[in-house]
Amino acid sequence: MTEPTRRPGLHHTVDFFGSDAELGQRIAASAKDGLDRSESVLVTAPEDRERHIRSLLGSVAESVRFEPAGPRYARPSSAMYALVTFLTEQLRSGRTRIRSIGAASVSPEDLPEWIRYEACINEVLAAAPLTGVCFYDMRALTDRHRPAVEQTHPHLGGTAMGAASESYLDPHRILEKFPAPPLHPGRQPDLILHHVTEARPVRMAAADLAPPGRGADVEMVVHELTSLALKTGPGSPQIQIWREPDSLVVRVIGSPAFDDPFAGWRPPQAEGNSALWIARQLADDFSVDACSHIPSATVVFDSD
Amino acid sequence: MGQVGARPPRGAESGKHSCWGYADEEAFRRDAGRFIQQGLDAGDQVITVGDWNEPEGLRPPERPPKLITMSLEDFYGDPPCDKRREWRSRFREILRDVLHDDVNGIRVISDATPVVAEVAKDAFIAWELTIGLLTVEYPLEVVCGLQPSEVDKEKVGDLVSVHTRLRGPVPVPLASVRMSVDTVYLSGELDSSTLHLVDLALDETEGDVTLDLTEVGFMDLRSIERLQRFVVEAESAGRSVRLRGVPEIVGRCWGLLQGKW
Repeated sequence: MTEPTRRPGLHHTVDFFGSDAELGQRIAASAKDGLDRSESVLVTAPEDRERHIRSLLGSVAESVRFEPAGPRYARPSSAMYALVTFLTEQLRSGRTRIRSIGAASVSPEDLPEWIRYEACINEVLAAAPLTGVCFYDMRALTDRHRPAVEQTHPHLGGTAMGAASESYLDPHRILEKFPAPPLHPGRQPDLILHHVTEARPVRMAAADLAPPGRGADVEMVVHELTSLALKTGPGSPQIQIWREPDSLVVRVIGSPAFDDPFAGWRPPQAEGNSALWIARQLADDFSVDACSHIPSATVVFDSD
Repeated sequence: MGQVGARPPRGAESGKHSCWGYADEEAFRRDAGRFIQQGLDAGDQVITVGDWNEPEGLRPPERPPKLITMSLEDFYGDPPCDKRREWRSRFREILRDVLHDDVNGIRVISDATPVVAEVAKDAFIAWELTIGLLTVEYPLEVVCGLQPSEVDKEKVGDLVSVHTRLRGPVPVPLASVRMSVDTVYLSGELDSSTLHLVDLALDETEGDVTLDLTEVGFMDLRSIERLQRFVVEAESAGRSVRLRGVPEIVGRCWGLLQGKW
């Protein structure tokens, strides 16, 4: 058996593939490497590749958890949730190190948000006993996109022995380089609530304006963000609401809790993180404006 | 020939734990008199608590044997609302003693105002939760009189949240917390302002328990996390916790908050 990975925290590595056959071989090799190091292994790959990967793994395939890539990689927040859930579940069951192997086919248009996601993993899971192995499909990208992916992975190659990435950048630098676009419309809000002193009327007003089927999500997220702003802000927060044809946009202004570019990505370990974590998970889009003088958080809810 | 359509007198209703707000003491005494008389007519044992022992409207003028009086000290303990578990055992004995064949149920009516005004809020609320629990366990109906003007506003807000029926000038609560022998019922809008009520109810539970959320309209994350913590702690102590009627959004957030290690 290979020595367990000595590194106590995150080992985040990337590799690239150009064909399904190549992907199967790389994933099988990484999964075997993880099992050899006594890691608990999760493989997230396209559903139609699972049988092939299982056959390459042979008898040890039973020790590997498989999940289809579709639901997990629907958006970055669902990917983070799946990762954190697996990590939590395995650590609770007594495992000491976890390997998550994921294969994604990302389009050039979607790449910036996945680049931000990779940077967030480096920041918020830095201390986690996790080996994250990412495989990017080069049939969807070009060589021009490769450096950005390498900048978000401290290691290259699909195994725990991968070489250090010379182009790796600090997560804060990545978020500066690939900033999330503002989510609120560039027009005056339809509703502005000043001098807010309690969350209840705000959540009720927002829920009344929610797109069909989203009332409960809006109520929960707006309540939590407003409560957080009331608890941590220097004064009473301001709430801005836009009702768009197919969505509702709510912006909560005035809390130092929003002054964190990784807000909503941090797992709900500490008090305060839960509200932001839930906001990112329940809303269709979430962002914080940590750079402005008065930090704000914005959430978008689309029609169901 | 009996009266056509005459209803039998209504006896004590198990599980009925009322808060009667009053601004005018005379009105309370009048209502209390009717409550007591109704109980006596129905064959209930009636217990009045406190020093307002001659409520108006009672007939006949002499005290019937099924009407007994307890002092505030006897009923609430001395100091009041202390040692709830001991009190609960003692009161159970009293209830068993008075539940003879000729007693249909038990009615207790107390003007709680002086005790509420004196005792720390959480101690009194925990006490009321215990009384609510006993009303479910026995054929017992309890009325707590309350003069809101004499009591801190926050106490009034919490008190109405732990009673099953309200009457008179008391605010309608946004949330309610009640207990039966093996179930904690949470309803309405639960947020940080009601978290201590949830805490008190959970602390009062013993053995296996069901958390009934059927009537929850809204529950914030702190309340959800409190329930999660309770489930983990209770289960690690060998107790079983069942959740009933979990609203969809609460269930989803419950799952999303599992990511703690």
